[in-house]
Amino acid sequence: MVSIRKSIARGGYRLGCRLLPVLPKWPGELALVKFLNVQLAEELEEGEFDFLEGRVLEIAVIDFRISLRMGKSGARFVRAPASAITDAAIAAKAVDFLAIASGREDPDTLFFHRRLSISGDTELGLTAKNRLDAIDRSRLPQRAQRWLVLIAGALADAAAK
Amino acid sequence: MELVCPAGGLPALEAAIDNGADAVYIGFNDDTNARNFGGLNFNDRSALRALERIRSRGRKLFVAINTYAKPGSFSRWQAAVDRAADLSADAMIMADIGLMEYARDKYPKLSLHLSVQASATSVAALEFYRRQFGIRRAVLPRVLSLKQVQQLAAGSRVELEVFGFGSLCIMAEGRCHLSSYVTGESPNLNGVCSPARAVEWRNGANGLETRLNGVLIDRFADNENAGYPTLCKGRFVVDGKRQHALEEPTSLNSMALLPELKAAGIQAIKLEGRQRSPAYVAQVVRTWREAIDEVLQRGADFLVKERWRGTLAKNSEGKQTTLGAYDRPWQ
Repeated sequence: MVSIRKSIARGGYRLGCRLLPVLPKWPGELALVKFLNVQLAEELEEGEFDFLEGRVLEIAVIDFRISLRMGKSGARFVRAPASAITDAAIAAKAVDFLAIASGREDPDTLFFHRRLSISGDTELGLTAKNRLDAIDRSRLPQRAQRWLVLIAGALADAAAK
Repeated sequence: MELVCPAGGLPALEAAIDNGADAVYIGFNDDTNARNFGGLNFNDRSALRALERIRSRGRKLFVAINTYAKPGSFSRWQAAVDRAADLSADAMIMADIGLMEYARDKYPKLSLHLSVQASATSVAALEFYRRQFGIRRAVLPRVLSLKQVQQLAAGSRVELEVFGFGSLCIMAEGRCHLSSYVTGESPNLNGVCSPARAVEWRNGANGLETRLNGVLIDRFADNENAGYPTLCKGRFVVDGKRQHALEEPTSLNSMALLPELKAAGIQAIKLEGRQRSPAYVAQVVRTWREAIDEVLQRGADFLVKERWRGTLAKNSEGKQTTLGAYDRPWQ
């Protein structure tokens, strides 16, 4: 069972590396901001992401060669317009982003080990990291949490090969 | 021995509680504490939630108000003390003697812990703070060797807390103005060594470059571990050689000394890292919980397990952990 999951993860990962760079990136950006708008509605309401207002944060998944750019307008996260300049960028491999998202790894640890980099406006990037760390993950739907941990684990295993 | 753990937000606080913290220390989201970073720390609402979670699990909450009040803004520091008192925190961690006087007079029942930023390194200094402000505990600076810690513990009339694990700095705690040399801001007055707005990371032809307020402080080759962007950990050309002239990025790990620290009567072990994520807090707290439980059980037969060493090494700043000043026989 474990080995099947591993081979699916490895196969999926290879496919992702090939396919994702050539696909348009707006569906990914749209899915990301939609997901965040639903999950972080409370935090948005409380103004905890106001620091992103009118700014552009780029999340670069280096092994998939895609970068998702987002900002905030009013009470919602939005896709960044193509003409807007990136203020800060955070770059890492998919496996490391998932390790952070699922609570497996600490971003500073990844940074020390040069697996995560930050460029542009450091304060914007650091504030985003700290605000994301402050989110109560237990509020995510149980199924999403389980999937996150599962995918992060499978990708970490696949990457270790 | 009490395990005192860091939390920069609610999930980190929960990770600390879940993994065996006896006490958790937090700060408010302004310059009244020494981890003053954007998006980090607690406002009144989240501090209240923190207190509820601490109380429901029977642990202790400490509030760090450990920077020095600036002229003209004492009221903000006083307000921080009022907020901590309103929470009925189990202790306030402080360094500023003006603020300690305010806390002692207004809230005589509230426990005061002397912050590492006060840099009290002698029995006479500890006695001064105890007599003047009634401090119950002092956090010892990391400049002391094990022998000096033992001597202090033998003569101290207040509880002593020492650092167990975390990023090391140049260890002139409470007296360091190095970073203000390039940014105009210091940890004591502004709560940060390197304000994020002054930090710039840039990938160049020669590797990853770090600048602090425009001043190049380090350059990392692709295979080198990076550290926090502080002036003390930068590399500079001295006598024609590029080197860590002041301090190398390293982390302190005093786990191997736990039996000696316990025998000396040290009451608490502090873990550094309010700026780190819940993932760090969970891993490091769990490791230290297991180690302290083992010391309590086995005493002098305690041995550091390879698994613990590995977890702590992975979460370290720099490429090594060290005993720091604890292991300086000449001191």
